[in-house]
Amino acid sequence: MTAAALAYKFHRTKTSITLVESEQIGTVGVGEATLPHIRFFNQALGIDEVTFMRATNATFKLGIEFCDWGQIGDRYVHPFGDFGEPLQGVDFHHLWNQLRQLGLKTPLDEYSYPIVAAKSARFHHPDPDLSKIESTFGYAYQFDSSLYAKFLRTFAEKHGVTRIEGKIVEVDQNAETGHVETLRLESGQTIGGELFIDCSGFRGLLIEQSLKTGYQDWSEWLPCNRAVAVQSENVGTLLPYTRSTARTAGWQWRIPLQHRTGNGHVYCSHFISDDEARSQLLDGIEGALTTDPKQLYFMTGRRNQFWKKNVVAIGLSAGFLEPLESTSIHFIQEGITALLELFPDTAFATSDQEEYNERMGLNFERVRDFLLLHYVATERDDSEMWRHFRNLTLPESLQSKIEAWMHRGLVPSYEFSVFLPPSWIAVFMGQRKLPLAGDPRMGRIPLDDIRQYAENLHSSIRNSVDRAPDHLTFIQGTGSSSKTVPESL
Amino acid sequence: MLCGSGLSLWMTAAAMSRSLPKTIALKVVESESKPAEDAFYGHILPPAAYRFHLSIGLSEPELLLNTGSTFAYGTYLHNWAGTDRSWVQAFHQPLLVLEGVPLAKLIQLDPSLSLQDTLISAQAAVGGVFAHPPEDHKHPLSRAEYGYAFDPKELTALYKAVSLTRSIQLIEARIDHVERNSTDITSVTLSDGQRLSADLFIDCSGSSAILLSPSKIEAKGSSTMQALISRITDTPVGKAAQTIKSGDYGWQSEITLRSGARRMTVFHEDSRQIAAAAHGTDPDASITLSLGCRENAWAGNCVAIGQAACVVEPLTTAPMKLLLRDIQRLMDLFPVSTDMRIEAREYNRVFQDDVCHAEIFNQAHFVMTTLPNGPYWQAASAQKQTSKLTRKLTQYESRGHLVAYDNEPFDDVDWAILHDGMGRQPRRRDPLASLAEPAKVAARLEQRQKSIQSVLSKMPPHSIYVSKFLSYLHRKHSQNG
Ligand SMILES: Cc1cc2nc3c(=O)[nH]c(=O)nc-3n(C[C@H](O)[C@H](O)[C@H](O)COP(=O)(O)OP(=O)(O)OC[C@H]3O[C@@H](n4cnc5c(N)ncnc54)[C@H](O)[C@@H]3O)c2cc1C
Repeated sequence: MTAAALAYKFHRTKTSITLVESEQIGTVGVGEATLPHIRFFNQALGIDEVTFMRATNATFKLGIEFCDWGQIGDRYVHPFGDFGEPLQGVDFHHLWNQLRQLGLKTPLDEYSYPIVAAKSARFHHPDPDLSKIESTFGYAYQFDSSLYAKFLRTFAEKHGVTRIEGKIVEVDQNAETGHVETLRLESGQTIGGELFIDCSGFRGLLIEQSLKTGYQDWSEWLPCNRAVAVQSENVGTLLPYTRSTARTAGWQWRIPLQHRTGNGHVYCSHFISDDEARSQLLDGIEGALTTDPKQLYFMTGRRNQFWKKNVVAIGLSAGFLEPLESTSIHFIQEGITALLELFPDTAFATSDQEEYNERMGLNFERVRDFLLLHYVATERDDSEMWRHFRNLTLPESLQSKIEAWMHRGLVPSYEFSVFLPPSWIAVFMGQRKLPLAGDPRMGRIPLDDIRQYAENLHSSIRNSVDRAPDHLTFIQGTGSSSKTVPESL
Repeated sequence: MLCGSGLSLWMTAAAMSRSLPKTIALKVVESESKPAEDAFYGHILPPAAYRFHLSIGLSEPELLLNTGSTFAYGTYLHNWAGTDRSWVQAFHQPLLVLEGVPLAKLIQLDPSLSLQDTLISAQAAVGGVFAHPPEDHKHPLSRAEYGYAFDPKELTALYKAVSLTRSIQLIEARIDHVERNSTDITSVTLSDGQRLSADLFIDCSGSSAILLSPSKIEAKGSSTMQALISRITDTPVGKAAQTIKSGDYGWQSEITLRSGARRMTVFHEDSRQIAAAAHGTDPDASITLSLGCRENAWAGNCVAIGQAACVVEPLTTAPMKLLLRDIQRLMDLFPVSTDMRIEAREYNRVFQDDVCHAEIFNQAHFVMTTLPNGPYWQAASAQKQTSKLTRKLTQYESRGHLVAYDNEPFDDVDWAILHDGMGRQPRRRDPLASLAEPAKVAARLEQRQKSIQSVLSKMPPHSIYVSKFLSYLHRKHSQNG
């Protein structure tokens, strides 16, 4: 992604870009679910959606379904879109909660267009006319990230990037400044450069192994430290959403692509053995397995500095938060955007680095709180892990958000965060954390008006979704289907 | 219970009486007003006031028909701080991105270019013309935003009238004593002997903060400022902008309303004589105000609004923006029970952000290599620069990067205009902006300026627009009975 974005920006300039990759080392090989922002990344590079979807076996994603999080048996969707619209300045979730207290049985999910569409396995692009209910959502993709990497590699090469296959075995730094000067490959070849972007994955070849930046370990809050991933055949309807099912020592993902389903179990090794984790995963998979289970190890957290001297770490080398809300690829995109805005010259002004580090640090921190919310906004206490979260002292930033929510259904909003209030509302409401009071301004709106408003919204969503094409038909109809879609689908 | 007088009291009352359910009984204790202090909210309502007015059920025609207000595209700072820098701190939509590069960065590529030339609201303000921005997004004037020039007394009367159409208990009395327990206000005793209690007390008493201030919260870091204020009746409607001039004494603002001009000269006590001479006319009022903010604006069951929470210099729309944000914040966090600790915490968090960010915008006007000699300027330059402002300035001066924080009353457009207006030049060109083809950029900018000039040439003078618009409103009003 970084090579493609930089190539696109600099391809008609004197700046030359070299990409070093090692087939021998390979990539982490997982990462399939994304956030809606990825569309803007593709658009900015002039990448056509159909071509991209075909190349990556992509499906559309309207949100994430969370199963068994609030309590075993619960299900809710965190959608890419709002719940209803405010009525006379009062947010819809307050109205719904009031109606619920008065006996309404319809779940909040049914007042969200993307959720109803997702559950019905239907999809279309958002309507550009913002007054229509069909415009009230965003969408992302579920894709094969290795294929996306290949697709972008070709794109980058077309835009002038020189790709070198080889393993970096040595990194030379300037004795005085400590700046990285050359990379030495196993073949003996040396590659010099002015700016080095470390996309070497968890190992952080330059940012950590050479520059010793240090890592902030966040396992105190996000203790999951392992994953086992496996692919399986698609079974049944092609769903336009990712599923995350809470387990006793972590959670399991299910990501439907056009040609297969990605599955994985993210867990904490203090609470479960690798064997148990693997068998829990395999027990929960519907289709036949198409790969061997792959074991992965990680530590949640972030580098102390994302940019140090002439090295900028992007991707897993910068830090990692478990993929519960599909944020890693998004962090890559944020890193690229920040780097382009703060692109250095050879003087490497410290102010550029400071700004970059400040900005990315805030991104990581705010996502951390949102992920942790999933584990603590729950009634579960049926295993050691859930009990661990019960007794956890939360970061003050999260604690105060939870208190504000429980007290009056308020989500203190920040401008700079991937997850805006509707996302927090979805998780709180979906995980049984219903506020004790609502917005007092609601008292001005006659109850009948609220009822009528909710009913109209509900039926207009239902009617409209019923007219929408089904997900697979839409993929095929737009020509986005890759050749690998099995006949049976 | 709301206590106090003037603009903050009646704006808050209008909002509360409109938004809160009727089950919440509102009492307003109005003490004798100190209208002069309200001049420190400034004389310009920012564009955000439009939404506020809608929320209290006040339309633009009602505003114009009931006050002498005129339109304002921003503030024209003339030869700011004794330099040759003049610019309109214009109200404007987000800046365009041309050739993939934000406009502000393209402008920085060529020192002969000015952002001002590309802002239609700035150009219209200087040219003395006005028209409402059209809805058609392709029209260059649709990029403009506007607020209003106003007289605090007239506006207060209008908000009061709006409030009194709803069920409010109005008591005209002074507060003689405030009774408290360890955390809360329990009641207030009025000059007529009545003792009143309430669940929530809203302090709109201006800088004296009679309800909030005796609690342990002290105004932090303050300096004292003087102002002379005059109403000059025979001045015709001029530019759709406030004009600010400066001198060794400090600065002077002037707006023209339909009922004449309002002039305010702000200075340091030690320069009273030269300030009075610069004021040029006998002042109707002379005020002294201590600038500064309380650490918390919500303590126990008392919320301080506007100047009761924070007094900021009205060099920009900062005080008015803060007042509007105080009211919005109060509405968003109106307590759901008598345990208000959570509301207070969130209120204070955002209040502190808002104040800090408004203050750094004001402060940024004084960060320059040479300032005039007078004590006003010395006091301004002696202010300690906060790390947030340092970060903003460092980033801009280094490469023209606009840093943004959560909760900023002034957005990146405001900051871009300010930096450009003050002549701040980034040391480096942004490497990506430099990639844009100069010829293409020049052509796009020229085309833009031409289209702005062509629109301006068809716009009527502000005074004519106002008078025609008002006669139209009067006609419509009389037709509708
Ligand atoms: C269990 C799990 C699930 C995930 N799920 C999601 C998800 O659903 N959504 C999401 O957004 N993200 C997800 N991620 C994260 C996502 O996989 C990564 O962000 C993404 O794949 C990018 O990884 P990367 O390129 O930074 O690192 P890698 O894929 O590890 O790539 C590192 C590259 O560096 C090269 N390299 C390393 N060392 C050398 C060397 N010495 N010489 C030469 N080359 C070298 C390698 O060859 C490789 O090409 C998940 C991650 C994990 C662990």
